[in-house]
Amino acid sequence: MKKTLQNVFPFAVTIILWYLSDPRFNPFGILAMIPIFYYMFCDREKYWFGFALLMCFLLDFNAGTLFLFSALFLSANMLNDFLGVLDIEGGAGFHIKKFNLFLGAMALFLFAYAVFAANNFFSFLAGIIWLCLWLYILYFPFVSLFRWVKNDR
Amino acid sequence: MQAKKNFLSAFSSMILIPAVMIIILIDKPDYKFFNFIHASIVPVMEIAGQGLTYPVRLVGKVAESIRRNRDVLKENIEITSELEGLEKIRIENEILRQENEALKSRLNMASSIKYKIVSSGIIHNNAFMDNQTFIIENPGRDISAGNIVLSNTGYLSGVVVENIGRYAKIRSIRDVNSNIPVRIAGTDVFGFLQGGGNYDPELRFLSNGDFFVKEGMFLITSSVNGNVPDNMPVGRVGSIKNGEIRVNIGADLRNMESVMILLFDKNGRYEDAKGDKSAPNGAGK
Repeated sequence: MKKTLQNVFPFAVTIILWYLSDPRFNPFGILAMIPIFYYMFCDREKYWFGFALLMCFLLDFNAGTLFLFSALFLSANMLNDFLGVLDIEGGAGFHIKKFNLFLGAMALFLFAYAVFAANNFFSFLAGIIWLCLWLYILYFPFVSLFRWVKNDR
Repeated sequence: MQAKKNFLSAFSSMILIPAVMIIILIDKPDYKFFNFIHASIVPVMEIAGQGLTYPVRLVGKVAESIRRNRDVLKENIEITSELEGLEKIRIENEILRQENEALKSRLNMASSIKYKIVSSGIIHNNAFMDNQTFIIENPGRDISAGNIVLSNTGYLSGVVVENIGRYAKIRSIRDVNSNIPVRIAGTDVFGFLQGGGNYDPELRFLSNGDFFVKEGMFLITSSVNGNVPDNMPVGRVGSIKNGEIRVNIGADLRNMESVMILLFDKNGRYEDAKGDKSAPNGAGK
C-alpha cells in the first residue's frame, strides 16, 4: 500500500498542481513544472516521459501557447540525455544547478515569446520575473516533500 | 548500453520538436488536430483533478457553508427591515414598467431580442501576463464557440473560443487577442476594444476621429462585424493619456467564480425562434 502510494504520488501531485491553477500564485498550473522537472531529470520515474509531455501539453492548453512548454520540456530532455551520453557527473547539489538552467531556458523561451507576440512587453517581463522567482522559491520545499515521500532525506 | 539509451531518448526528443512544429503549420489556422487532442485529454485530466482535490474541496465547502450560515443569520435580520421599503419601490417600478410597455406599443417599437442564457462555473482562471482565458463547465454541452459570455452583473466578459466536451474555453475581453466592436452609448461613434492583458483594454479605431471622448463615457457592444449582439454593457472610459483610451470594464474578471453564457452566434441561429427549428428552447424574440 505504502509503495503504491509512493508510486502514485508524483502523478497525483502533478495533476493536482495543474488543476489548482490560480492567476497570481499558480498561473496556468505552472507549479506542475516542479514535479515534472524533478521526476524527469533528478529522480526519474517509470513512464514519466509520456506523462510529463502530456502535462506540458496541458500547460500549453491553459496558457494558450500551443507548444511552448512542451518544446521547452523536450529541449531540456534532449540536452539532459546528451549530457548523459557525455557522462557528466554532478555533485549533491547538481539538481539545483540543473533547475537554474531549466528556469533560465524557460525565461528565455518566454522572453522570445514576449518579444515576438506580447502586446505589453514590460508587463510580460514583470510576469516572467515573478514566475521564475516564485518557482525558484517553491522548488526547495517541494523537493523536500518529494524526498520525504520517498524516505530519501 | 545506458549511453545508447540516452542517445536514443535525446534523438526522439530532437525529432519530436520539428515534427510537432510541422503539424502546427499544417493545422493552421483553425487547429482542428490540436482541438481534437484537447477534447480528448482535457476532460479526462479535469476529472482526475476533481477526484484528487475532492477532500480539499470538501473541507473548503464545509467551512464555506458554516461561514455562509453565520452571515445569513445576520443578514436575515437586516433584510427583513429593508423588505418593507423595497416592496414600496417594487410597486412603483411595476407601475413604471406597465407605463413603459404601453408607450412602446403606442410607438410600435419592436421588443428587444431575448436569448437563451445558461449559467456556468469557472474551473480555471488563466489570467496571467497577456493571457486572459477561462475554462468553464459545459455539462449540458449546449455552449459552443462564438457564444457570448457575461458576468453575473450582466457585463460583457468574453467569447467562447473552444468547446472541449464537458468544458469550454473562454477568451476574456482583456486577452490581447480579443477585439470587440463597441459603440459609445448615446452616440453613433463606433470603435474596437482591444484587450491589453495585464493592462486595461484600449478603445481604438474610432469611426469619428473628431469625436471628443471623455472619461466616464459608457460603452456598449455593437454588432458591426456580426460577432457579438448589440447593446451589451461593456464598461466605462477610464483614463485618456497620449491618445490612449483605456477602458474600465464592468465585469470583475479577476474574481469571477461563475458566468452567464448567452447562446449567440453570428449566423443568428439563436435569434427568432418562431419557425426556426435550430433555435434552442427559450430563445427567440
